[in-house]
Amino acid sequence: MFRKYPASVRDRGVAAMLAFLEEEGIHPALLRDIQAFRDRHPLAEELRDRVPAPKFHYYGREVWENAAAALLRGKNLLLTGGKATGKNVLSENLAMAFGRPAWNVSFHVSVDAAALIGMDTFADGRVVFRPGPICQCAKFGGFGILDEINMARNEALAVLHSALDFRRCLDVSGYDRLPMEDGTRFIATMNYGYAGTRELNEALASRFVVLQMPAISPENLDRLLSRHFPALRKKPRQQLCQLFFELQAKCEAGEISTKALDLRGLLDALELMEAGIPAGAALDMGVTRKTFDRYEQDLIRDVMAARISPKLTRDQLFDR
Amino acid sequence: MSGPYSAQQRRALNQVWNAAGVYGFSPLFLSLDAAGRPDLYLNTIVGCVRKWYGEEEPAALFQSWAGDRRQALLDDLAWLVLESAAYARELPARPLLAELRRVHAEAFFDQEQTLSRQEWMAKNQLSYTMQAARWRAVLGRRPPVMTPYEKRLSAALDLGGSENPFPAILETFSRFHLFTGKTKPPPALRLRLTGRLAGMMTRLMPTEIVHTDVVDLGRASGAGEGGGPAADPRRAVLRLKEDAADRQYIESCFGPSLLPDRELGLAEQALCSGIHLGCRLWYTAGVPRPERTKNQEARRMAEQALLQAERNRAAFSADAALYQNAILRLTERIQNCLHVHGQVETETARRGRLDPSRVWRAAVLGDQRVFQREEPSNRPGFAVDLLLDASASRLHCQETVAAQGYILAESLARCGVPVRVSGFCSLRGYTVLRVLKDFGGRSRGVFRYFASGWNRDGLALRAAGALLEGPPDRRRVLLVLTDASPSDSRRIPPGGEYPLGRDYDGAPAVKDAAREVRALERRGVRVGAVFMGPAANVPAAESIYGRNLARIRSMDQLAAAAGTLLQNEIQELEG
Repeated sequence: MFRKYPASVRDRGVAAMLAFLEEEGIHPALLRDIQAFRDRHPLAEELRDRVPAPKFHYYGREVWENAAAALLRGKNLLLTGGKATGKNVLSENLAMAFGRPAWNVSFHVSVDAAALIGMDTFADGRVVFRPGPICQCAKFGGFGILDEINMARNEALAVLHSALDFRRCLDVSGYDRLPMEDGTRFIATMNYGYAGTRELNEALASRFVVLQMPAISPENLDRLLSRHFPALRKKPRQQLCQLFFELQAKCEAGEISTKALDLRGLLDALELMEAGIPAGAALDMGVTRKTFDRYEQDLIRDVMAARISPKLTRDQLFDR
Repeated sequence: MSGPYSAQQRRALNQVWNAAGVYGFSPLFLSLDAAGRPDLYLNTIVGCVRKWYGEEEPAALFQSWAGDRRQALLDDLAWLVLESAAYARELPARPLLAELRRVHAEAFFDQEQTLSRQEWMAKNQLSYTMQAARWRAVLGRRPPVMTPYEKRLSAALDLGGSENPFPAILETFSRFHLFTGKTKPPPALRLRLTGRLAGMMTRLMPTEIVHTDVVDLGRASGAGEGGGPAADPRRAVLRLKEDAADRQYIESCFGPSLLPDRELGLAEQALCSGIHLGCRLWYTAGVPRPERTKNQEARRMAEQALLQAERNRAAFSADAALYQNAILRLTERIQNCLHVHGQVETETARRGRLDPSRVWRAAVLGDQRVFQREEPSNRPGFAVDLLLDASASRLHCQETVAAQGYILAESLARCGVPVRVSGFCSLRGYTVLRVLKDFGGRSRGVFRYFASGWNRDGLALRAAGALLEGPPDRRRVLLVLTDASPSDSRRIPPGGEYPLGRDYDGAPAVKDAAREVRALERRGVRVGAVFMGPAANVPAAESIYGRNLARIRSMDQLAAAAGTLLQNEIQELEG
């Protein structure tokens, strides 16, 4: 439920992140406001390893600007969009850009109020309160990343209402009322329409500003690949981008499940190719076998076979 | 081609769609090799033709010589032109196409080694020569030995990346005297066989049997003219004999009754009332027994039913990969929905909310399980009945209905949802409810599905409602596959709303079915329907089933549509 980030990676990343935002063309006034936010909310030393150090940057100037403006104005963000639209990448990028510790809660049907706020437990023969991630967020002014919020029951989420609205406090039943530290923000993600997910009720949805995440554009995917794999040649890079969008079209048409529509998997496959695995085997490991149904695997391999030769080697894909 | 497709055809279709960048259309051609495997290169080319030249112009081109005696040859040659044109246009965006083309060319010559004499004879020589010339050129080999005419034609069939190859194709065909714009249909071969020869050919050749209800239709017209069977005592004797024969007919075709005679009589008394007065019911879970009857017609129908079960199983096995994929995906959807909307159970735990009534256990027994936690229940609180229209209107798609019913039954069973699948039809005044797979039974029972006769929807729904009163003791969901066109050979008897009686069809039958759906809903049964039928029947379907209706265009969408309906029901029942 919680994720920690190594400090060395994080320190290198902060400067790179701010440079990236400038490069991305984010409005200078917003960049100044982000810096002012960071100055107003200095980070305690013991929380430094909780600031995310995401491996990937989120590409998309408009989304960046909208999200940053909302958080600067004290709003909580609800990021909605399909698979591989970068909801989690943006969440972590935002926490890093704002220099805040993050508590990442993956929602599922068993998440209840206790799992969010905290629960009673025994310690040394006494009943004591063990704070949950939302309490920690409130106390330390962190960014609470509420992943797949619509997988949880609305009843379980009702405990968040007072934290998310103008009251900005948590009333821990049987214990104290905990006011939110000023820097606290919540970023929820949801994949609306995913099989089995529920709709957020009005009371909860009204406490967020909603940002519809667009699918990654061909240009941005190309930038992502060239940034992470600078040695990757242009032609195979373009074909891999096309491959991703063809898989996306197949998912949207309902011919395959979303399991193979996995941007991380595609990047993993490229890492394997860089390590010397032939393209076919690498794509199999990174993408195709994410689904376990053989018929679906055949459909995915057909898309690949019409774009990328499975025999392509590292030398044919990457410059030395 | 149009659906439903086999697993390999579906794969080929996906290759076409992928190259076209558009999904959902039915291409005019799919390419499968002699073993039935999809040909990636040619299907990609079919898709590229759609991408670069749209849908209408290629369709109009192939339509221009449809029915001509040289249609196969013209199709082959036109595809050679389109192949070169689409290849040249697509290549810059898809460089791998060159390699795929080379592999395809090699495969073309490899197959020469494996073709039988009959397959060679079936090939058109000109088409073969043109293809050989094309693929030899692709492989950089010398062209085959050709006549000057063939050489010129071969050159004319390579248009490169033309933006509009269609006029050139027609012009080429005209110049080479292949097609001048007028179709020349092949001479029709019609044989009219009678007597023993007809009987023999019926056994040897594939036949389609359309089940009708001639005896009952004749009797129905008689009933409308007079005062009904009871008015004439001699007729009553005849009726009794007919009843016995009909019952034997039904039993031999559908299997023995589930209910003992007395209970069946009571059920008929309770349910066959109002506009169904005089109708009979037959609940069965059995298999047809052709050996149990001396009646030739009944025996033939029972044999056909057994044969259909074999066909259903064979059709499923042939496309097992496609269907297993559908089962996995539907299972996942329903499972997710059940997880998210499932009920919560409270359980004792080592942490959670303190349970004051258990605190003493910590102090006295050292038991730290004095807290309560909420856990979602994995036990669905409802059971599903799937009621399949098994009337003659489904004759053309029995294998698909059986496969789709199996997919749904198996997916629900894997999610732990009790499911029963039944088929309904009406024959000789009997409304037959045939349980193909009972709760706890094996899903393969659905393959016993076959279609025959009529569909008296109102009575079938009423009869299904009586079945719902039995175990399991859970909320009930009834999903009906329907064409919203109830009709039966047994007329509505005179009385009540219809003083002169009338046929059971049209608006009165729709109204009757709608009334039965409302009656079931009043009893707390959730009723939904998957509708497949002509657009003209949509208003009838809506008036019978209201909002809980999903329309499908092809029977292979049945399971997915039923799954969607079920998801809505789960959200409302559990959530």
